[in-house]
Amino acid sequence: MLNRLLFAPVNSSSLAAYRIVFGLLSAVALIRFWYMGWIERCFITPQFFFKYYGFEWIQMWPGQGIYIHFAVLIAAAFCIAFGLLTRLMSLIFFLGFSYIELMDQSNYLNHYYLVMLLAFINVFLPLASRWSVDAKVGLVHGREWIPAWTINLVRLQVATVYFFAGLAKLGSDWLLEAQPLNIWLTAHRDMPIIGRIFEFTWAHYAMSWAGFLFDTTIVLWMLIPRTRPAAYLTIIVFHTFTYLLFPIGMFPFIMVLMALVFFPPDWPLKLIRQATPTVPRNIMFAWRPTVAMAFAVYAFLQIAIPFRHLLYPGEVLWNEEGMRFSWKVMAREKSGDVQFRVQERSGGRVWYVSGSEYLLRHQDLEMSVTPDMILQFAHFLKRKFALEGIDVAVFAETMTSYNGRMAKPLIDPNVDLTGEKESFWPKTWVLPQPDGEPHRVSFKRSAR
Amino acid sequence: MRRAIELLILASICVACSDFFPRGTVDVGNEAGKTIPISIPDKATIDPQACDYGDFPSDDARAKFLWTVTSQSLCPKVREFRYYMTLLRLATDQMCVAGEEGNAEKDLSYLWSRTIATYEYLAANPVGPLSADMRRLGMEIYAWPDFNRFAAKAEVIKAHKQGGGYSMNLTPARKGLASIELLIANPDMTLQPGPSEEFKPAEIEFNALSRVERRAARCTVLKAYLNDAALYSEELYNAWSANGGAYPRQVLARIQSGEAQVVLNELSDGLYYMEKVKDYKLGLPLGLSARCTEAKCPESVEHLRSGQGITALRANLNAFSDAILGSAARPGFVELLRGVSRDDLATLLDAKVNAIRTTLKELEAGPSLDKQVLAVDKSQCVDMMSPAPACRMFFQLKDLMAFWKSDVLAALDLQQPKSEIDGD
Repeated sequence: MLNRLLFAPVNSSSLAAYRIVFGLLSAVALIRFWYMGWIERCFITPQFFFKYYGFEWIQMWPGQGIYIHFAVLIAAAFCIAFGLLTRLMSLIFFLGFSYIELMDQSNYLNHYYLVMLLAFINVFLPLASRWSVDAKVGLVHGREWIPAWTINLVRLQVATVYFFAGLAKLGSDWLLEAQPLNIWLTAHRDMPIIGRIFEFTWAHYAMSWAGFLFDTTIVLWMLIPRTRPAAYLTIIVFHTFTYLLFPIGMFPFIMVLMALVFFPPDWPLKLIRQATPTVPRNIMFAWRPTVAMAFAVYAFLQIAIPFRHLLYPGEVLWNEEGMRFSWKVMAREKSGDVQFRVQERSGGRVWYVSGSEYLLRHQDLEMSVTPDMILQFAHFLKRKFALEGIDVAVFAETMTSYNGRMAKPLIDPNVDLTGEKESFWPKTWVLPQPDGEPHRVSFKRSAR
Repeated sequence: MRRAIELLILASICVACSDFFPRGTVDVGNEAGKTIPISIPDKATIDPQACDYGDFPSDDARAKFLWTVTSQSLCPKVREFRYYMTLLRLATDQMCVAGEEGNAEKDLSYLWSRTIATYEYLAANPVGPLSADMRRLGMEIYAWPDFNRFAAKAEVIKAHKQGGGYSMNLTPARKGLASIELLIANPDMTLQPGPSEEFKPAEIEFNALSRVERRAARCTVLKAYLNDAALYSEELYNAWSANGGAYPRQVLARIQSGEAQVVLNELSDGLYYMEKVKDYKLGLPLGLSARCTEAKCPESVEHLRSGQGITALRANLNAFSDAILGSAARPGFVELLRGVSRDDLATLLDAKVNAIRTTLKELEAGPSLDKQVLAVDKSQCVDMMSPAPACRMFFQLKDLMAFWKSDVLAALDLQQPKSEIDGD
């Protein structure tokens, strides 16, 4: 069974199609990022970057270097799509994309993380074995057959996104209170054609359950040949719907196209009506323990990392401990405010600092509900005042609304954050999530 | 033939200009109750057609709110701002001719306060044209607090040296209402030293000029500043006017095509100006902002020179509370909260805004904002119970914005402004 899962010969056309789609999608996403002016906004304008724990050493390119960085990435993405120097370009793309992903936590998006992981595994896949310049000019051997682990690794990666996104919704707020969809859908009641049904609570429940069942089971339906066409149609409908309702950029496109990997490995040949060869008897891939071990380790990490929040007390959707890299996609409604009370240790002077005085809006917005970013900014303020020769304590005054509950402080306002350090240990200065059921909004037509 | 064409073109230009500046006379009462005869252009008077957008019957409070707030609340303010900008230009022209005779300087001061009151209303609710293109129009008109407070000084020296050849070509931070104020509030046009507290030779030379010469330079620069600001006020007006860009009609079209939530979010984004009010207009002078490393920074009070700091606060708060509370004829955000069964939040929001309005009344009963700031006892400036109204308002705004960003936004599914970057 395991041998078959990893080393059975499969047609290489699916992996080639995946390479082309990945390269083109990445290029489009990066060009769009550039076109929208987000390079300037996310990487040049900020005077402060929120670093990932352990990656504080990553520094921004001087001057306009980030534009060159993006240009190289776009070129690498096209090279991947065309299969030109594929492995080298995959490595460059992975390193380059990871750099921009790791530069600032406030830019974190689940689909960027997905691209980063796919870029990583691309380095090890025989992406150029078909429909590539590399194979054409003889840089690599063109191959009709590749071991199954290659395509199964991509499947595993895409499957984790769906499965854990579904698991994140397994909670009473989502399933029993229809939150946060109750809030989100009510606000979209003027959407053409179907908007009217969003006024009704039953629709919020129906869509909460549908979303949960879709995410948790769609991979299963995609793996069963008989249900696969209907499942893929559902994927298209589902992601089109989320694209229309929520500002999630490239995510729906990425998922719709990446889900193609669940089709049989020869699906591109069938699509272009080429004859699909049967596996010759003489093609066998030997069991390679290193490959099997690497696959197992990678699979373990992909499952363990999203579950790491279980090691922390409290609700992950509130305290964010174990939130990132866990595919908790659109799982909660959280909005809030943070003001920093900066207190001089010797003179007793007090200042109130809003994040907006130093941060860009998207940074301030992310920070306002994210404890580790609040901690980083408190340390930034300490350093800022130290430059003026003032030793300060920094306290965070927060108010955070969670799934429609009345706002409560997220951070203990009596804790001097300059005395706290970032670590993987639970953050004792993060207050517990609010109790009680969330408020449910219900739309009332006004006769006014 | 060629001469005739030239004459025709010249005549056309004159007609076009006269259309903008035909002379009429209206009486404008000043604060002292005196009457000032000011010639004003017909087109600059309040054009009843400009905001005549009519009603939009809808049983959806959100659609009605968006329609009325843009067409009946903000549009008339844009029209009023353009009106006062025009009066300000005319009063400047008269002052430059009449010199110090009559009430020219007083008229100018009065019109300045009216201009500020109308613009600050718009600044606190900068939707559509004022928020488009990275807030370009707003920056051109009034780049506060990011403005160069010494630029006007350099300009008058330049204007004196260049005489009739003076022309102005400045970036937003060096012109606009912030610089205009520095000139209006300085009728003697004596220059003060910069941050180094030492006069530069050019400044000493300028101060040694006769009062008439200094005032002439002031007139030249003031006119240039005002003409420039008027261009942008005209652009703003055209974007809102029913005869121009008709921004409210664009809002209506978007509501009808199912974008009401997006427009509502844009309106909510604009209201974040109250953060600026809290941090810069109150926090900074009170020494509660990190940008002030002294005990207090009263010199940072907005409109310090003209003493209109409280006028600006009132206008900002009026814009905010008009959008939040609405009126008898017009729904506000509280109505929207009630519309989604969040009466509890609506009541709280109403109470918080009204508490700030009460504090504002106390503030208005006192001396100018900088004087009130100076009188504040910082040891008691700690929360919403602070005895000094300026302090109390700071903490009330802090509390209100936290409530807005958490409970209110969540209930109405509004997003905080986030520079249009993707999310998931």
